Amino acid sequence: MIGEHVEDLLSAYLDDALAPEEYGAVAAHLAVCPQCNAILADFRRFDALLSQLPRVSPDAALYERLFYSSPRSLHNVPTVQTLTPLRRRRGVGGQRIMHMVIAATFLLTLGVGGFIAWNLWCGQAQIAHQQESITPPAGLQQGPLPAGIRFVFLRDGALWSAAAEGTGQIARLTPTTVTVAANWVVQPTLAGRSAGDQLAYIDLQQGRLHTIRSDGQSDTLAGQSLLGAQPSSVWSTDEGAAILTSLAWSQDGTMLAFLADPSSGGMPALYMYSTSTKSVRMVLPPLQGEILHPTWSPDNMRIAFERIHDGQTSVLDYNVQNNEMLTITPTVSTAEHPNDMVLSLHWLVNADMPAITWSVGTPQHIHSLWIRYVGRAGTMRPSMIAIGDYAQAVYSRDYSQKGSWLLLTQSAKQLLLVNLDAQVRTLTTGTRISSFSWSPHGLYVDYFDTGAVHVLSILNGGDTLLTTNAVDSPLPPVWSADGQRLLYSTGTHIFSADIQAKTAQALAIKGEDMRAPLLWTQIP
Amino acid sequence: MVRVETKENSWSFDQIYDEYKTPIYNYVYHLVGDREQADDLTQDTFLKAFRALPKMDANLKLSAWLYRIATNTAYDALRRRKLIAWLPWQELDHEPADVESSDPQEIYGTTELVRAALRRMPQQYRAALLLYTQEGFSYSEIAQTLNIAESGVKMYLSRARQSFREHYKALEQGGGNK
Repeated sequence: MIGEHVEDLLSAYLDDALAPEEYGAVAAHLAVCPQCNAILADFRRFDALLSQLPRVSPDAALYERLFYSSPRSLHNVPTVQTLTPLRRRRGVGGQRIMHMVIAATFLLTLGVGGFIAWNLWCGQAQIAHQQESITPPAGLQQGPLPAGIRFVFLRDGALWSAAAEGTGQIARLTPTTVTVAANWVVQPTLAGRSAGDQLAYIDLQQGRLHTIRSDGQSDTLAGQSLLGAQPSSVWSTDEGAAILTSLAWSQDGTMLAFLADPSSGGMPALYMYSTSTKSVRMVLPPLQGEILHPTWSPDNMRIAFERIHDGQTSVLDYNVQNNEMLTITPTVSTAEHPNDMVLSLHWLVNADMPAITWSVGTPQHIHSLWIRYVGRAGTMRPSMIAIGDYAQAVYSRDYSQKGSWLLLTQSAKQLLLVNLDAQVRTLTTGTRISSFSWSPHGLYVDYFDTGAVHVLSILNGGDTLLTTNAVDSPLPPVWSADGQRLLYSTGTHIFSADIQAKTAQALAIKGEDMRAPLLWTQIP
Repeated sequence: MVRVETKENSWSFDQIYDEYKTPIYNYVYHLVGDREQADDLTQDTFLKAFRALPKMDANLKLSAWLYRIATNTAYDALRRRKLIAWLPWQELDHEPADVESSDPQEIYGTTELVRAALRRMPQQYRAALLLYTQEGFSYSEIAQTLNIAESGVKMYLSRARQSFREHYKALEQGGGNK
């Protein structure tokens, strides 16, 4: 078949609806035939276009006509019937996964070790001798932790640190006198490092901001109390939520932006803590309304944020050097979506092209993506990158200079890569994706599809099945800061997969210990 | 209130309409390419469905069954029209004002190209392609909806994609005055 064109089989090849031998023959032909590759690429592109065709709805008058007013209405329809429950969309990914499993088993039988599918990594023998669960010690970590890459997680109001390979003791980082709030943050990766060296967190008990080294030493109070009022009375308010989610490291890791309301005025102001001088200064005086998502520019000179005031959501940019404020967009909601807000806000990763990109919508319903360039080559108003109704949207650096957004369609069948010039590439078809994340450098995407974790190469589209036995709640798969490891949970155990070595190892920590996302740190 | 009961749930016709009005309307609209006609055909689809429900088997797959009624209703309408009055590409209508949502392609103007290419395809292939790409149906669900063998779905989708590609590329190159 290598010499014959396979146009009639390409559609079924795309849908994984071919018998294994046909599938292999088509794949072999595609390896040598640019013409058939072009057709297959067209099929993929057109499937994506069709799946994103705007959906139209009937107007309300149709209901009236159907049920009441029309001569053809439902006046005399008989009454009771038994039905099977409504069944909605079902993906076609199962066949594809099954093909991969079959292919992997076949290759394993042949002893082609390098191609052993990742879903076969987790052999029972390997898991069995590592199932011992370690209960974190009650006391504080004594002495600095040894150098190396570690991961940190929040449990019972404390931060705990474990070695990346899952060996050794799990150490408690934070003092027993504090209760760590969610949304703690790790300093960005610095030059020559694989992960951040410091963490910042808010103590719920005292309402204080802390920084701590990743080796468990030098827990430091940053500034005075964040609140003038009793902390417990504030955390459940909108103001409290804004403060708790405000921690943002500058890109160079030397400054930490946060919101605080030490005078109890009900309007948090934006502050900045310098890790070098250990001093705090007010960046932005209190503004009417609520401030959310403070985000540092790559040159550490500007902070962009969302402001909600009088029912209007705007995006602003504050220059910490010359104290100038720029309105990036005066409003994000539309008549069609009056409740829309900014869901995430980012600076472009490339400092040479200062620009802000953001997603707009409501949770699980992203309605649009935007960008506005600032600085010398700035634009007068934002440009829309994408519009629609998507379940998730995540921006990341990637192989391009500007970074890209990943969009998950509402049917979860497709993962789309949208660059900042509004060009779209379909990454998956026929899947049922419930969650996904970028690797730190944007070269890979992991996605969770009905118990299976896949790793997809952004560069060449290669899709590797990692495991068919995972859960994405409460701990979805998470990348190490160097993009070399992916942790995933099977519900009872946490596995650490080494992307290059193609091995996975059960960590000495139970799945149920992980109730919140973990982050990676490096101890120099 | 008229209700349809299942072992686990009790569904009113209102609820069925609410659940399926947009998918059915959207599907019919893309089959016939005309909003006014899609209104009528959606109404006919639900009327036929609600009237027939009491006579249906208890294990009815409601979704595929509704789409089958919608497909046949649209096919009938297209047959009655005898010949679809295709408009030249340059004169195609713009996006209807009350579109629920749109997408990245619309920004660089491919939505109308896609719709125009769809309209030029044979109707049975168009239905299969819409069910697969827009509605997320599996081969088995498409087979039930279009009343064909599952093996036939593979052929339908293959021809549908080839046909769509041919028409889309012709339109893209300005050769869509058909």
